[in-house]
Amino acid sequence: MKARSALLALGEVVLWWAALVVLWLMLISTVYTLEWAVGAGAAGVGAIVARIGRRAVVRR
Amino acid sequence: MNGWLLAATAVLAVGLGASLWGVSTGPLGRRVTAQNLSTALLCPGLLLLAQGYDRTSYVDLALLLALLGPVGTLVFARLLADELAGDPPRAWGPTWAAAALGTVVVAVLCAVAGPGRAMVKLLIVGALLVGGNLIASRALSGGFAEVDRG
Repeated sequence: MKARSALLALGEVVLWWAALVVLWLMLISTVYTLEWAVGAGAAGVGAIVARIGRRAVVRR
Repeated sequence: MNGWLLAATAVLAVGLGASLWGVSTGPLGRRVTAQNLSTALLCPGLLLLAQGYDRTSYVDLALLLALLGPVGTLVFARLLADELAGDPPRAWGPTWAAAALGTVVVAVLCAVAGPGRAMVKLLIVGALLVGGNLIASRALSGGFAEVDRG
């Protein structure tokens, strides 16, 4: 059960990350490697914050 | 001066001018409603300026404004909840007019931009602008009474 919830948490973060990377790619003007790296990093932080925020709202 | 700049000038002069006048005069409900409308009208103005001057960086300003304008209005709605509770400002006519203006501007600019990432960006700005404006107006008119006290 614990492994399952960890897997679910990881899946949620990966989903948030993918959505945020796509959003980043849509909002920048030119796509090159550095933009990819910065976007992926920022989306990683954003994905973790998004999961924490969603849980904070749901568990009230 | 091209047509885009003319349209932007009209939006800014008529829309933003009227809403700034509303912000600076009259009772509290009118002021806070006009404050909400001012960002909803400035955003299409910036989109038109971006097209008119061919400077895509203005679209980023419009994106920020579409995101932060309604957030600012929600802060006002929360802080002024007690003052607004007696007579919540309902301004659905101007709200829908601003939403229609935003929709038309975004649709026209999308048609000009053609399919691509620029079009997706415009659609994101439009969705944030119209959705945020409607949510902020509903919050001002007391539509989210259950969350007023957190």
